[in-house]
Amino acid sequence: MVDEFRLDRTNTAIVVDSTADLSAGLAADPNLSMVPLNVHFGETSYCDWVDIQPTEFYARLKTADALPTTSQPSPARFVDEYKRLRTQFERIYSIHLSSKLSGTFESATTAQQEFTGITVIDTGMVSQSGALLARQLLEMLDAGTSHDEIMSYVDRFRKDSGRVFILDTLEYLQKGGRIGKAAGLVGSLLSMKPLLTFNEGIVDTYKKVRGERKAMAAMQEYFLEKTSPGARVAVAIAHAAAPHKVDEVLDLLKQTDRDVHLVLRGEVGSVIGTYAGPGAVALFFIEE
Amino acid sequence: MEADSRLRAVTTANARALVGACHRAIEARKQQVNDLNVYPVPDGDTGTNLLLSVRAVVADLANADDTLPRQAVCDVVTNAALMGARGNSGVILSQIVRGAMEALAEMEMVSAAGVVKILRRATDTAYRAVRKPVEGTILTVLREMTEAAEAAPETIGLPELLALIVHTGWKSVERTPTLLKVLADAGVVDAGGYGLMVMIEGMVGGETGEEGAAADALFSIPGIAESTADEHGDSIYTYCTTFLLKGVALDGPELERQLDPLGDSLLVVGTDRQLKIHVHTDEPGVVLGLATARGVLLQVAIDNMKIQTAERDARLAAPSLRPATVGKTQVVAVVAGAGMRELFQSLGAGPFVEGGQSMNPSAEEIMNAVAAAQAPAVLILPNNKNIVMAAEQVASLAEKSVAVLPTHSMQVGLSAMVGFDPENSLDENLAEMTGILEEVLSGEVTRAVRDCVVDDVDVREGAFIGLVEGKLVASGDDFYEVARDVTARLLAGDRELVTALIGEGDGADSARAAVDRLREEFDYAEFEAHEGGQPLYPLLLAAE
Repeated sequence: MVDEFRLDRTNTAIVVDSTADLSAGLAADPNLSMVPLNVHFGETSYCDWVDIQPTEFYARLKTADALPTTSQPSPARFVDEYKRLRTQFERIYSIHLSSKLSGTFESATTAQQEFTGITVIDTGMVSQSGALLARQLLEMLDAGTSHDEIMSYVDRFRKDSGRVFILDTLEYLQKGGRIGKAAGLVGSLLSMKPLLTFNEGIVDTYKKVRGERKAMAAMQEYFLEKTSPGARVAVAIAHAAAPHKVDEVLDLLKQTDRDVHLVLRGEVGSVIGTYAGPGAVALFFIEE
Repeated sequence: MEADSRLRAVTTANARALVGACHRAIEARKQQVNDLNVYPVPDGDTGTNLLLSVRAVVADLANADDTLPRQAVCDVVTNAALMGARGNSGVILSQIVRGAMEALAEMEMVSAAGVVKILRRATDTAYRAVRKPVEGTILTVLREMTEAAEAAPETIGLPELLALIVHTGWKSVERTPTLLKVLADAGVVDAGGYGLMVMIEGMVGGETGEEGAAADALFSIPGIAESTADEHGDSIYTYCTTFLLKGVALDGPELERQLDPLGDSLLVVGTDRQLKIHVHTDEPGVVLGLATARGVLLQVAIDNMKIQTAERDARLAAPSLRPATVGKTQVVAVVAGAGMRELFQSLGAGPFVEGGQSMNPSAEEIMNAVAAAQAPAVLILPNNKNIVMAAEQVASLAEKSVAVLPTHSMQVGLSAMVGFDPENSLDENLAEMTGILEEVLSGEVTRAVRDCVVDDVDVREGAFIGLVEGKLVASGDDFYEVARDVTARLLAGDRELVTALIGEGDGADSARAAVDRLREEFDYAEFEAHEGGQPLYPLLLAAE
């Protein structure tokens, strides 16, 4: 019975972590709350998207002696957030980056055990995929929905949503220990612009290509492969200190017959940026 | 006549004599056949390939049992030809031999009718093996000899038939320029056809009474020096024997005469007090005995060349260290140049076949590399037009699942490696890498090794030449001008990424400087340069 209970903005809230790379508009949403991860440059720590913004982060990244590190929010941090929200909302959906890439999901799960009515979700991905999912769920809340419907959508999102990104270099991913199945790409003496994706919660290679132009073309190919002809597709594009790439990707998507609905565009935050490096561009989408 | 009895019964001894005559004939004219090569590019020489392919048969017959039955003799010859095949001409020759041996095995004695059958089977087998048979080549010559033999009256005697066949063959060689424009333009006959006739005439021996005359008459390139000993070829002898001989009143020429029948690659140099001697022989003891009779020996070195070769092959064929776990597919790539090998290795290729100076490994060398691969499926990258057929031969003979990606150059092979995934199946890899092959364009800058007119471009020996997809497009005295011409053509159309591979030796500096200037001139494109260290071609380019 509880699962068919009507959920809407009066009784439901969404929590994300800072790696969801929310746009300013979403960040201001009254039903959306964000718990930040931390970025450490040497001895100094910053809350992602709170104390440090992407522009400053990428500038510092260029001149830093050593690579920054990141850390997850503690369970206590989540407990505080859940406690605060629980006074207002009966249901909370806490959406997080892949549990295989960060301990954030585990922190949230630990915290959640002290409450009822909270569902913690592992997206299996990072960056704007979180923001995209959050936005879609908020839209569902606007219209009124149910727990079953929400979980059903989350399931579809985790399985069928598009997720592909191009990095300028694999160096950050490799040094940060998050290269996953793309490890085979490292060591190639020939320069590559591989298209990466997420598979079962870790980084994997979608296609090995050489040259910027081919890489962009391959992104369009991926988009077509994952969507049906004429479909309306909700699209989110993020960049790391390379805004022109967002337009390049968008142009290529619009050249197809799909009905492209750009719902989010923005920057890759400091935490994800630590592993992606500057110059990255990421595309997330789901058929509406 | 002597030739008669050689052709009558199929025994090891007769086979040795016949193949030996064939070997001597092609050895004597190897350089001539090489010089008939139309393209002024410094590799893929028909004469060398035919000679080395025949040598493989000589070697295996030398090691064979003296009392083999007829089928076994034929098998030895066929197998040696198949495994020893080098270059396209070597592979076609091996198919000719295979067909001939199939027919021969069915005969107790060879008669005139038998010769006709042998020719017919050889022709059919050779044509079947070539995917796109081109007329005006060795195939045409073989076919026309066969047709003439079939048209001859049944009562013809063996000597007359052989004379007819040889005569028809030479006439056919003479006509090849009328069938292939590129031969007419260059003013030469087909090298493969010419080589075939040299070998057949050698085997038939004194039958025609005009040995060599026809060959000389057709050989139209003036001022060609007599053939020199083959430095690159594998010796059929086992021991490389070198030493210093010290004495008094040493007679170098006399010692040379005594050593000559004992082996090859003979070198006797020095004064009447000290001679340096080098020879490849199976009887080092006899050689040293002859020497010790004349003086004192110093710095004696005897190396077993066969073991050296086997070790080298094994080392080169050893699987690359990079893949820790063996996946579903491995790539066997033919490479030349240390940097080139590293580049291929970094993309997951291995085991390797050493292409050598002229990119002509034997089918056996390729087979060894395929056998050394641990994955159940192997994809071969021949990386040279002249190796594709040998690779396909190996694929058809191998026991595991083997396919060939027909790469015509190392730079194209390298681009294709980007699509390789050891976790994918052979078919998936082949599909993905073929897709890349269809898009990438290859270019080369090197020096012409002979004068010629090719594709309306006038080429002087020593000039720089530029090729695109194997076709000559530019020639001149300025390296950069030629490189620029090639690059402009490569970048026409949608291409924007150029991979440049710098070769070894002379020309490497010019190549590096050229790439820097090309980067500036074609600033809309991305240039990526690597040290390939490849021989003969200072600059290899791939555009995608």
